[in-house]
Amino acid sequence: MKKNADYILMFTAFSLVSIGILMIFTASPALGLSAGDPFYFLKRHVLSVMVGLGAFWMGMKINIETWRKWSWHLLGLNMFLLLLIFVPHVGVSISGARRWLDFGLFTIQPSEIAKFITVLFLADVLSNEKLKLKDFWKGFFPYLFIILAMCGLIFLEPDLGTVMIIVAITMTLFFVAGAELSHLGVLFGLGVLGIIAVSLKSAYRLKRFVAYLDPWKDPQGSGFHIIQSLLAVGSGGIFGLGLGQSKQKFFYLPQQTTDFIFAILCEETGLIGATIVVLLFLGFVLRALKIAREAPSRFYMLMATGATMWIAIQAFLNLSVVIGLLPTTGIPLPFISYGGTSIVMLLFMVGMLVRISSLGNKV
Amino acid sequence: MDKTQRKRILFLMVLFSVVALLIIARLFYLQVIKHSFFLAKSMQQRSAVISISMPRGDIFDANGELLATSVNAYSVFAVPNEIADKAKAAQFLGTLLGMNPQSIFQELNEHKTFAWIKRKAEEWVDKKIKDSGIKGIYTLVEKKRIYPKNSLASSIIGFVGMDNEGLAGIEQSCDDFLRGEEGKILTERDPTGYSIISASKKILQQPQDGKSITLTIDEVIQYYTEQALGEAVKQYNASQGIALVMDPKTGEILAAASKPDFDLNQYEKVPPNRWQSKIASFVYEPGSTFKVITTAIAFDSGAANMDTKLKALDQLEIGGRVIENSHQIAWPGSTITVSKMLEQSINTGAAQLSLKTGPQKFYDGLKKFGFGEYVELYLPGGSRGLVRHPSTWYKPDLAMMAFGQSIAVTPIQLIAAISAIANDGKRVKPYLIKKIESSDHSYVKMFSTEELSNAISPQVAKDVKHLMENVVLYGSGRFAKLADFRVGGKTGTAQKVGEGSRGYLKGHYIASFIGFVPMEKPRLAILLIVDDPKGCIWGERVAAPGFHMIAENSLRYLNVAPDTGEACAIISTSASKR
Repeated sequence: MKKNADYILMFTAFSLVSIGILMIFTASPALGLSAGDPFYFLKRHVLSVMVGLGAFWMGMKINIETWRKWSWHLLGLNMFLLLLIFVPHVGVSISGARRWLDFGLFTIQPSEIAKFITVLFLADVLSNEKLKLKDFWKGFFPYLFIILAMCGLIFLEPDLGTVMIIVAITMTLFFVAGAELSHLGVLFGLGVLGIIAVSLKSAYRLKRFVAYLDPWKDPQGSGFHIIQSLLAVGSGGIFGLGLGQSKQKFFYLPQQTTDFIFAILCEETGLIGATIVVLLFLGFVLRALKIAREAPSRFYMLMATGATMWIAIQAFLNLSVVIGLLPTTGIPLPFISYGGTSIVMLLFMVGMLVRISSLGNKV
Repeated sequence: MDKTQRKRILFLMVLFSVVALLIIARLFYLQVIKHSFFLAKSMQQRSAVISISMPRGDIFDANGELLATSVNAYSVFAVPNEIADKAKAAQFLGTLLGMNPQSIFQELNEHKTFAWIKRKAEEWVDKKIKDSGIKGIYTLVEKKRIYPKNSLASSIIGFVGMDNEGLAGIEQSCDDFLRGEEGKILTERDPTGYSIISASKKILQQPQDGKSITLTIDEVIQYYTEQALGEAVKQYNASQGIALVMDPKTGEILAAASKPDFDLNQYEKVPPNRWQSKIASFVYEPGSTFKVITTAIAFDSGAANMDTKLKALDQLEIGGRVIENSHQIAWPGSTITVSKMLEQSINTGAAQLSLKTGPQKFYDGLKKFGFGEYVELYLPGGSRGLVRHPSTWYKPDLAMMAFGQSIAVTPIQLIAAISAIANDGKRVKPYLIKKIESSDHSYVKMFSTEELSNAISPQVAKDVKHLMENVVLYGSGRFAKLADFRVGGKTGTAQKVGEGSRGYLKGHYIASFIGFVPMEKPRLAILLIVDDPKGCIWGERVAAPGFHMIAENSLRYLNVAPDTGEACAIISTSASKR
């Protein structure tokens, strides 16, 4: 039995994408001007969204079972791309992190693709009828190990944010698939220890953490990012300074078009605009999880959950960082932040979710 | 789908709903409760106050002649970080500016982002630097103060420092008027200091041009005065000279000269003790010029009059102190008139007048003339002089004050007192600033004659004026005599008081002359002080000819009609009455 596509989900997703275009339009000119073209970022973002619409259409049209058949191959291909990053001239380094592959006409970020691969691969293996998930060594550990190996490569770029997202997606998928809570508890504990170990080893991460605890201790140094973000959010008030009126975007707030774009949104549109965005994200997440619950099979359920978690975790992590609830992680805001590969992959996932929503109860 | 899965998905739904609520709550806290705090912080960090300095006001003489003004100058500075070859740049600048390339090189290495190379250079330097195309060397247009008349009235006008702050004279004392008000604009800037495109601009303080100041000084009279004083100082190799010319009726100071003077455009080339005017701060014992004041006080108090007879004495002992004359008198023991006492400048005679007056009346008389009182001229520094209260006087003090010892005055006090005599006993306040005016004429402050209480009665003033004319006609003031005008005056030759010590310095004198002209309607009161002349010490020789020069030139310049011969005859009669 076929159902109608979930228009509410589409509405929330495309509302967020539209808000994203608007925010890039108001937040980026100052930054763009220093590169010579005030609309440099807007133009590129709109182009990405157009490519993303194609990806959305693909996600809607392509049978997910087809992806499933190739999941191991795609996993291997993604590993290869992640390794390729370390090849000079192919891997592109921006501000100390090698995250991009240069294909001449365009660059792609294999770690963004890795998120999709994680979802696809785990949905595939966790929906296997023969899987004994409750068995730690036979059911739980082997697949976790493969994911962690991939994470290791991404960590070397370094891109701790993406590693955290992938680990979180993995945990929720194991959780929803019905893994033992004790196993998950061990994984969670190890994850926390890992983050602490990594933070202690790296001076800048440690500083970020200290700054999170008390940003005002070093307002010109480690606390600068978070303080500038809070200044932007707080000065917005209830109604905001008005679109385009942000003052913090003039280089007080770093990464004003990517990780901290929500701060500009808060400054310009106030509590009202910010709440609308939070509610749109919540609406999207609840709607997508409803799709997962009503999915026609265990595989589709896990696919939908994984796609949702990817977007949900990123969104709420980013929002929490911007308003000072969590330390700075370097995660962009889904649908809204500037960033080509991200927006294309996100719209592809939305397309897939819409496809799943339109499938009948049973295949 | 099993139950656990559905439950666990439901759990995720609840979890994210709670997180969303938490985020909204936090947003409410930041954007509503702490809104004003963050708004203020954000405003504070991007607010910048831009100062706009305004042109400094000019200084003019009484007739609008420019004495001080500002022109564009080009200051050379470097941004060492931007300079590719510092040694080459230093060589270029050294050659261009006539400076040591080595020290410039050092400057370039010591600073990173900014170093002055030379302040306020000329326009061709600016052009050469722009032509050179060397990156990292720039010029900045600044205002440079110039003084078109160089040394004229230097101690009155004063000068400004490198940052156009008044350092001496009117430039210092009237700095607040001349400087104008810096404009202050509150604007918004990004962290690198650039103005934000959408920045709001708020004028915190409206900028205001500096106000111009017009002095009472007349450039021409000032020139004559400086010329005469300069000659006296030079001829007698004096350590310094001070001269004042005042309109006795209005109180306007027409000339105020100090020698040695200096070129205001190169003030740094002379020692700082030459910078400030001494007309209100030079405290000295006036010597015999003060006998005129003694006479006026004695007449006004009723203790003496034109017919009073004095004894011509070589010595007068009072309170254990022997008062002597500075020179041999003609007929010791004879009886003389007050006029004779003044003509011959006899100390013992003057002492008899002050003793007749008595301490309290003499002191009151001094006060009525304004001695011991501060004269506000709006010049830096200034003194009250030294007039002690009678309760502290020793017996000889009263006698000694009669001929200008044991009392100290400033030049401005003395000329104001003589002006009162010339002006029928009416005292007016001396003033140096005629007008303060903003460039748009919205602010105009005019100063005018301020009449003070009378010093003496008109009749006494008339009598003393006659006596002073006699000094010029028959006495020590001969060298002050003018062909076409009747002059009143008095010489002074005072022993210098040693600094720090109580006694008098042997062989060091202050020669002075004070007078007014013309007799009936005096236009000028003139005081010349020559400090420590060598070779000749007498006021009549050293200072009186200077009076003659200043008076003659100035009266001609002012187109004053010559006195008629008849007036002279009347005085001759009154003189012969004695």
